[in-house]
Amino acid sequence: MKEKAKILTDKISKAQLGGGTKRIETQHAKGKLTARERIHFLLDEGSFEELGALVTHRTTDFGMEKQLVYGDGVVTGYGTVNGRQVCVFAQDFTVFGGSLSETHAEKICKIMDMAMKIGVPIIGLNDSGGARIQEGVRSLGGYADIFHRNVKASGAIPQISAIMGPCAGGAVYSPAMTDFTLMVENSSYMFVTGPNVVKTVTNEEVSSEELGGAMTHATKSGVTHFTAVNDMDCIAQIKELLSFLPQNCEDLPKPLPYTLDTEIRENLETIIPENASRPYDMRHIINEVIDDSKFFEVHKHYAENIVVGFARLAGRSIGIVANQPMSLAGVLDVNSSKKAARFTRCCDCFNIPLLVLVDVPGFLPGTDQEWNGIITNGAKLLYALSEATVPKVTLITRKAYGGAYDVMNSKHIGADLNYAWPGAEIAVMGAKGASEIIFRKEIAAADDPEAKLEEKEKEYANMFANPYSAAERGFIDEVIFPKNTRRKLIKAFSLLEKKVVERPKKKHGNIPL
Amino acid sequence: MTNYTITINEDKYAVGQKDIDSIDLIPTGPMDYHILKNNRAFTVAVTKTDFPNKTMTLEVNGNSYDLRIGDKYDELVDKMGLLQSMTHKINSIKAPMPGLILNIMATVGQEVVAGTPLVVLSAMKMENIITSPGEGVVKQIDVAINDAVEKGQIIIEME
Amino acid sequence: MKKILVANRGEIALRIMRTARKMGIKTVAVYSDADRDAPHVLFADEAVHIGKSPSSESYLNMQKILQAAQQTQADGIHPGYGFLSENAAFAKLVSDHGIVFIGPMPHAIEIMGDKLTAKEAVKGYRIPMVPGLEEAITDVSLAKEIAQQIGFPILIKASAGGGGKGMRVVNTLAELPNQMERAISEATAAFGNGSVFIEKYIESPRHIEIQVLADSHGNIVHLFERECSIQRRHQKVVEEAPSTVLTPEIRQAMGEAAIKVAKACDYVGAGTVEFLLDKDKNFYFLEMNTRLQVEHPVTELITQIDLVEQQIKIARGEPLTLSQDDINITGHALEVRVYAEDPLDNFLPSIGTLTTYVRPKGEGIRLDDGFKEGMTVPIYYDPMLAKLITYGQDREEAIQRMLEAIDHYKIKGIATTLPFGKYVCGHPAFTSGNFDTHFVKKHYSPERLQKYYKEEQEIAAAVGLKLFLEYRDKLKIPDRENSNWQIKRTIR
Repeated sequence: MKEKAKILTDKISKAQLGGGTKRIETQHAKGKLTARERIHFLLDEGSFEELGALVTHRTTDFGMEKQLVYGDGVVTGYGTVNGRQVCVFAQDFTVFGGSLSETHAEKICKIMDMAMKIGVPIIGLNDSGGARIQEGVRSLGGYADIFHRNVKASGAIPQISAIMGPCAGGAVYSPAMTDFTLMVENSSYMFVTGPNVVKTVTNEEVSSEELGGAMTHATKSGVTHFTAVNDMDCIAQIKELLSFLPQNCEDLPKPLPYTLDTEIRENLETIIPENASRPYDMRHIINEVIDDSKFFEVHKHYAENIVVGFARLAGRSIGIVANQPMSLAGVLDVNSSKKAARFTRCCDCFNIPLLVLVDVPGFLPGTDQEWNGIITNGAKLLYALSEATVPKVTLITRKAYGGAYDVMNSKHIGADLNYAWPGAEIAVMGAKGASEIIFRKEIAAADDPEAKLEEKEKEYANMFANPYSAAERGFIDEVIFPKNTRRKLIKAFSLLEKKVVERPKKKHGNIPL
Repeated sequence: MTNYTITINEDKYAVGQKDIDSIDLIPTGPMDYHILKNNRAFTVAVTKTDFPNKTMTLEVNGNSYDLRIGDKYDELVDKMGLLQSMTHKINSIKAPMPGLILNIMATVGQEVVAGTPLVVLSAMKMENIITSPGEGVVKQIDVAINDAVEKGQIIIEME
Repeated sequence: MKKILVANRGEIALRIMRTARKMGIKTVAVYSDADRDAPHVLFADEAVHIGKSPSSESYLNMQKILQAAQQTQADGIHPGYGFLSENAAFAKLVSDHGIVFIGPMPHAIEIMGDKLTAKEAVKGYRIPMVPGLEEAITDVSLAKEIAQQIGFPILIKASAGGGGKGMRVVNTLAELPNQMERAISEATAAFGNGSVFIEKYIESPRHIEIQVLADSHGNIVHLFERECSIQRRHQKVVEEAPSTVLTPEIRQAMGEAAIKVAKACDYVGAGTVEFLLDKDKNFYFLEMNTRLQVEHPVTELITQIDLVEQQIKIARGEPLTLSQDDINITGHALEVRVYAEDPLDNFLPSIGTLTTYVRPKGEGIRLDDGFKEGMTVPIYYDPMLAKLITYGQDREEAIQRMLEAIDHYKIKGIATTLPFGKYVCGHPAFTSGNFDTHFVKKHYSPERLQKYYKEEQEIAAAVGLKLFLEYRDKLKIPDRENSNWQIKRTIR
């Protein structure tokens, strides 16, 4: 019996070592942790249970049968994060460069199936050179098996992908279909075709970092939601992100204990500049409204004219979508619409109430926008907000002009409660533009057209550049003093907590993708 | 046997099973222990524990100690420098203690070296000159004269 | 005198009110925004809010305090120490409005408050003095000149000061300008007067002061010495009485010199004459503090005289009932000042909330404090939390009691100088009596204090790890979530 115990002990210690000490050292030298180390820091101490540690690949081509490593380049299992059950897989770059074989893919599929069976989040830590070329189409099949599971799990359980090394070719599509992607700066990259292929096909010289590094995808493509300075930062962000999400779509995010006080925030009275055309940072308003100014921003560097992210209100997780007057005056354009739409749908999947803060002058005009489909893309946000069944609350802080007013969670598209600050201007367009159109003849006929325009502009502003004509029609439920915003919102979300809505029976809607 | 590094007030103690075995410990209450080490008596009271984050506070003979337990993993990431950079990459000057900002000598864009006086912080009537810990350029000054600052609050951000 | 307003805060305000109450006198507290819940406010019979937290807007606001006294019809104002205690203008303002200032006459404060006039006043009395500049200056180039004349090291100190604020030792000419600037700035902030003195810095000195009491009928007695040599940053931390180095002859000579100084300014009330004693036991007159000193309790314990009671009686115009022959030294008293400062971190202020605050109790222990558990130490005032005073038949007993008292004095939430006090009381240089004002520089470093705790830390480390390993090895499963998770959904 002792003999047999020893066999197991040996196998376990061999599996623990992955690709061996030397490769582990190489990994460390690159500033990267190994798969097992990453899992150690991600999960609660001692909670990890590894499954399939003794799996090996089945390939016999190219002499592969002689190269068998336990685990086959991916560590899979389950454990807890701050006491919450999760499933996890971490690709092990020290074993065949983390390349994906048929068995490697099987392991990932198995743990994804487990996550789906029990309804818990799945976290993937990616660090892989790509398909295991020796396996050919079997490896490709493995990817597709994972993709299909990603889609089935989408909206059912939270899926989080951390890119902590290379992720190229077909491999990129799994993270792309999960709810959130994080990338580690300088050590990770994602692209469908690498710099070499780019060079041969288009003659472009581009580095991996420039083509598909963390900052590239955070700023230019929006492929990654978050960037991390290193592995530990990445893991810390995964944990924080997870804290805002529920276990699955039937569950609610876990609230933190919170003791209510007056919840009056005087600072809110002074954030909006006196001059209506001066920008301000919408994050200042967000930070005053939410708990402890802890705003967990998503897509921070992408389409900065809209701000989205998670926060807590009296301990409860909420999602925030807010125009950012500081960037492009907060207009809606193609990218900001896509960014906000995706975030909105994510919150809706996982029962996270939505707070929409509005200060929007309209849609960005121009050929670039029109030709890139601002119509279809703007429609995405309109559709997403309309479709969402979670509690939806809107606050207009300043401008809400034109079609953008409708899009930004207006009463008409199903917002549950709509608030406005006393300085809000809810109108078809700015006073100047409107007067130019309405009073065109009068102005043209005047002795001093300039003065006339000014007079008419004032007249129009008095009539419409305020929240009251909207409030009179009930489009705004209440015009509130800024300092009371937090109070009102806490009560509003508490009112809406058990909200139920009816929707017509259908397979799924047809969002203008 | 795996060794652990226990940090108490920036002092590091390498502790292993041997050290645990060398102490004779009996519980005298739910959170209290009586300890004999080389025949000498110590009383230990556990005042706070956060095991998941590997920190706890123990009182030995009435003196309180904050412990942080580090294992080989913690040592590894420490050695790899993965912990320092977690709090933003921006080098910032923080208030070493709570107090009032009495004077600000630094200006935005100023190039500073180690020892350059940046601000004067007054706490309990004692003036303390906060100097730059190293070279850098002042990017932003986050306080104004007569501001009250908390310990650890960022006073100046450097590029 | 039926009602006294105490124009101070913290432990001294409480201490004065206790004596007043004992004498059947009503008490009025004043307080700033930061002190509404402070013990002196809770103790007093009446309390008046006098302004914002910074002392310049509250405890230093003469008009507000006067108004408070008039409003509450107090007939006496006790200034305590610090704040307005040595402000002649305040003393005058109070007296002019028919309220008794419990302290010396304004002109005595004026004379002694300015080191120059002080020196001038005592000139005729043949009191030995430290070489230095005879006038207060703010000019750096002049300072340089003088410094070179009397030779380094020199001492810069605020002309209006006390308590070490605005005080700097300068060893070289190069560091003089910067140090001078800081000293002036500190003095301006603390006293509203930035001019400073420059004098020869006496090396290896002991700081010994004599307590005097003078009534308005011309009677003056002294209550012996207090040894205040244990200082850090020129601020006293440990004081005792009597001093181990004074012979009866020197004690008498210093006592007589102190009485002369008091006479020189027609002093009335309780005052303290400070001397430096060099290694050959020559003493030099430093200054006179025209107020109740922080460290007065050690004198009270060895003479069994309540100094505040004496102050009040003198202020009422009563003649002293004590003659010099009635006053004797009995036993030995020791005081450790408890500052909210971290002795392990360069005595930097440590501010926070007193999460635990347990007072030591027992025979021969006196604790003058102004804090309670749960209180936050405000950043606006002096960092002194309390004074721990012990009394014994002899010095050894007083020290022993101090060590025990420190062990039983539990403060958590902030760092205090208690461990430092314990370190001093256990140090051979202190127990042998062979020390000077450089005790801290010579004998103290955070590392040495740390060593005291090393063994305890080792125990803590081992126990901590043991508990952690027990926790780690325990099987843990996540809480069962109450979720309606269902995977099945049929779609046509």
